Amino acid sequence: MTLIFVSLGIGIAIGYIHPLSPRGVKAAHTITMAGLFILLASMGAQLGSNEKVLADLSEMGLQAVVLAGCSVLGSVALVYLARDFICRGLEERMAGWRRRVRQ
Amino acid sequence: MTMMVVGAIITGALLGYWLLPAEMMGYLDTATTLALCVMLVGVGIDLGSQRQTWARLRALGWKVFLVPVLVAAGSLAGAVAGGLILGMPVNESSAIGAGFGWYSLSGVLLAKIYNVETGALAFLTNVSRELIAFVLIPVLAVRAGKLVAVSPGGATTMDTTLPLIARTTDADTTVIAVVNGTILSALVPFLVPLLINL
Repeated sequence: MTLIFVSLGIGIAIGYIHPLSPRGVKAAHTITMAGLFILLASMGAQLGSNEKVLADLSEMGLQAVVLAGCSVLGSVALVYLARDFICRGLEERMAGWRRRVRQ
Repeated sequence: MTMMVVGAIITGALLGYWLLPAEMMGYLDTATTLALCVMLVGVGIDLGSQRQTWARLRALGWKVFLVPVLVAAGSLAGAVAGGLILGMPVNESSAIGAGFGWYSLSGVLLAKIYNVETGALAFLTNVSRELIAFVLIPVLAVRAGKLVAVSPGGATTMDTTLPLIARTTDADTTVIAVVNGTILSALVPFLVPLLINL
């Protein structure tokens, strides 16, 4: 876990202190994608060689839908309950922000 | 992009099923640890350079910050409740819920630091979340209000579901969606490892 936070911290520090040029952003994006695809293919390889996971795939699909549905329901319910409070006064702030952006 | 992600997993799965002997999997560990570090540095650079979004958040006031906080709290509570129905441990269900729809990152993180089964479930759950969001956003925008339409998308409201939010709501809600997606995306790589280690 330390490795995860150190890697993230290094990235955030680089991005914040020295924002990359458009070419640098493209290069960073390509490297990130390469890392992601190596990890995805490796996850696939582990799944493919694991008979138990392959056998449980349909059950896993059902669990995924239950977890996703409950997560969405929780998010929608909380924002719905707080929407009037959040929206109160927001329009003026948004108008002010738009004016500042235009200047 | 989605096709490429699915393609990478299927290619890996076919290799794992037909070609790679099980003993070889151990050797993949060093390569994937390196890939994870490289990817997280890249994710960090992306988050660190979003100065405009953080400045925008200050200008809009603290109430806008409540949207990602409530979306995150609702997602985690919902996932834990769903996990209890399914008989799952709280650390697994909450870490999966903390993917907030970012299926590629949450899936590979959990596959790498916990186990491949939970990684696969996180991937499928967060893909499902994105699909549910695509269906719900237009309905919620009309029935429950524009702000509520931002909530199902989670971290995806800064990229994949943003065009739909822009089309079904208004310019102000679209700005809130970008801020919401950016904050939730920033939380994913921190919350997933923290929650799975509970």
